Amino acid sequence: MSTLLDIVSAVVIAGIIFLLIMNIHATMLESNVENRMMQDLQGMADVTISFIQEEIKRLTEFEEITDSTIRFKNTNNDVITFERVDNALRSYRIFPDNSTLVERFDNVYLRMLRFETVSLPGAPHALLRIRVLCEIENTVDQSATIIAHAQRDVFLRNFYLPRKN
Amino acid sequence: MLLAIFALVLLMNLSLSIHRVKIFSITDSKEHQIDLEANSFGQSVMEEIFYSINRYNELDASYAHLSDVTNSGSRVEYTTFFGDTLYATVGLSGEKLLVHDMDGRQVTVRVYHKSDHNEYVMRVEYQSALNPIW
Repeated sequence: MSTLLDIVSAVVIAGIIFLLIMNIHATMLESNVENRMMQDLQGMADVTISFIQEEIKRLTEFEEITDSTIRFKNTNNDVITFERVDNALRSYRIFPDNSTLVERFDNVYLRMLRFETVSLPGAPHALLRIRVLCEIENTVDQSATIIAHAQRDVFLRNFYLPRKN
Repeated sequence: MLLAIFALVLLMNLSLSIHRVKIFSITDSKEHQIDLEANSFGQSVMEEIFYSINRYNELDASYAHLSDVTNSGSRVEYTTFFGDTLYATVGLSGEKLLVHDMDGRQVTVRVYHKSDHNEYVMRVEYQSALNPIW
């Protein structure tokens, strides 16, 4: 009888350990997925900022600026608009010959896009502050979301510095 | 009895492993986030310095005192969206010959984050050249 009990308990313990090991593998996989999602989203927020920054550097004239939209003229006299449409970033470019180019970036998961001018002593609109908040549903934990944030100030060099004629 | 104790120890060990995996994962993501925020903060400080080129002769008065990360009056601070604080220092060289045979000053921006052991760990360093353009 005791031998039977030993065999049964050994099998039960082995089963528990097997389940635990499987559980650890599942947790590790979930952690990896979450980690990857967070890093990808953070990278996405950073790339979005860099993309906008490269265009903003060539700004020569503000046409319109709200807290979530910016429209400006650049050094080529193109009129460029950046705005958030649903969760996408949309850029709208009107060339001097009135042709247009619309680009929509859906995979940036934008939750917020903010533009704000920053004044420095003696310079009312010297810098443009760009803030991006990206949010994606957490596929591992459905009740939570993953958030990434990026903020950068850009010196409006072509707006501020005198242009050579 | 021995088997039961062995199983219990194994169970505790496995449970700890699960927690360690989760903690490493969270730490890794947080470090990545801080690196990216430090990158953006460093660039923002550098952009502000670029603006100061139009007051080239006042660079020392504006930035030379921002050289000690351990002193709250000698650094630039920025609190990230997630509540971490980053610290930036600015280093200005004297007038010297820079790239393309131009005279100017070299500026170095370093961004630090305070570790759990209260040490300032440098996360990002930017270097650029400043020339009097007017």
